[in-house]
Amino acid sequence: MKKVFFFIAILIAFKLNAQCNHLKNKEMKEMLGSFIYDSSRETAIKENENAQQIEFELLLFKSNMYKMCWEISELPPNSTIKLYEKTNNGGKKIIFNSETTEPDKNFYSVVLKDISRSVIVTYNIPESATGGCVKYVLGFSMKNEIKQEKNPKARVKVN
Amino acid sequence: MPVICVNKTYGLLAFFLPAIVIITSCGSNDELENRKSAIPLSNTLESVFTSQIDENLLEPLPSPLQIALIFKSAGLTFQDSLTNAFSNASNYSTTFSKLLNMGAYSSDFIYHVINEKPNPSRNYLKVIQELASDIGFGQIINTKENITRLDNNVNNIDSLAIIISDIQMNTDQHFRKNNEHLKGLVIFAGAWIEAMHLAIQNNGFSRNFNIPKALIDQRDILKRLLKNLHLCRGKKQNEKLNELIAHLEAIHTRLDDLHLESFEEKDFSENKKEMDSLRNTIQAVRNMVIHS
Repeated sequence: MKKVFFFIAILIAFKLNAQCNHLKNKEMKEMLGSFIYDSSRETAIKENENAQQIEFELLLFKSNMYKMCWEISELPPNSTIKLYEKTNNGGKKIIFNSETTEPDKNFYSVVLKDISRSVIVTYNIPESATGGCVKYVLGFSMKNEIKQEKNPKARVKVN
Repeated sequence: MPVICVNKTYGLLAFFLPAIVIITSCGSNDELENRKSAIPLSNTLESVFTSQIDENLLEPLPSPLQIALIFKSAGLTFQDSLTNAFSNASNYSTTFSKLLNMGAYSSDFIYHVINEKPNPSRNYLKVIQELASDIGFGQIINTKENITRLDNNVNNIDSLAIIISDIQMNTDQHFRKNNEHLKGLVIFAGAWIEAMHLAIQNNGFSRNFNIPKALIDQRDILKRLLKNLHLCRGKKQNEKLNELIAHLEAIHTRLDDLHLESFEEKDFSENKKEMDSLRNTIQAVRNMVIHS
């Protein structure tokens, strides 16, 4: 009985201290296609009775084009991902909304062009959601033009 | 009986430990600032490096490759004499100096690669791997394989950029898995300082208005780096880390002194004094890094 209690306690402990299954390099490269890896982040979502909003800002450079991808296999149901561009007057303009976008299997992706300075990523997690995780990968391209990819998962071949 | 006691203890520990870790991992910046003055400088660097930090409290930073490519697209030309000599690598004896100079050599490596200088690039990669091996993560830079890839793609800038970004990906994942975000930040600081040095000391700096503008754009990155370093240092004050933060804050002050409007009007004269001051500060900080 005590062993069962110990096992349950371990399970609860892991649940409270939510962890992400790390993305593999191969997965990140596939998500980015021809874009060059810049950075990534794993956001562990803890089990919570209340709705949660997680927000952070990414600095971008106008001369570059970016591809932002999210891996959502561990995202709690009914959660949303939104991406806003900061406007010059201090406001924000939505440029991606997962509610109006169909994921490609377990991925969302958006190509960002001519972003003036920064974007705000917002994860909205509904109340009573179980714990989980959401991961993003950001890639960039110096050429301010969209490469025509026959296969969107194809990348520049490196021997 | 003793077995039962052990189980109970472990059960309680397993239940409460994560909560304790979450509570003690990070505080807000203000809280940390308030606590700072009362804390003695007695923490070893290793104890600071092993602090548990929630990645999501850190501000995202661009990769050193992206920073280098921005300077290149602004018109930064190659000037070999500006990079850190390979021979200095043997002088770095502490974990802190090795991390900082891994960063500095990473920027030098990228600088050579994107300017299509394959021979020095190989040597820089070897030096980076040696430093990484000394501090326990040499396996993330597969030198042999990457040198072969460099050789096979010497004239293909897209492919070379992918090789560098693969190394970046390995490094990010390593620090994430091992919860060693501060080590990653110290490497980034070394890389960023070297990139700024390569830009501001370049012969073409005062003839090309795009380079100073790209340099000023770095102010937001520095602000984020400083915020992250403060957060990771937390209450565990350390002399080396404090010194690095103070140096970076000095650069931030110099960047703030510049009058952005004059750059828009392509006029250097109004900023000459401030630009000289920024150049001197970056030089002093870079000297601190390569002679650490």
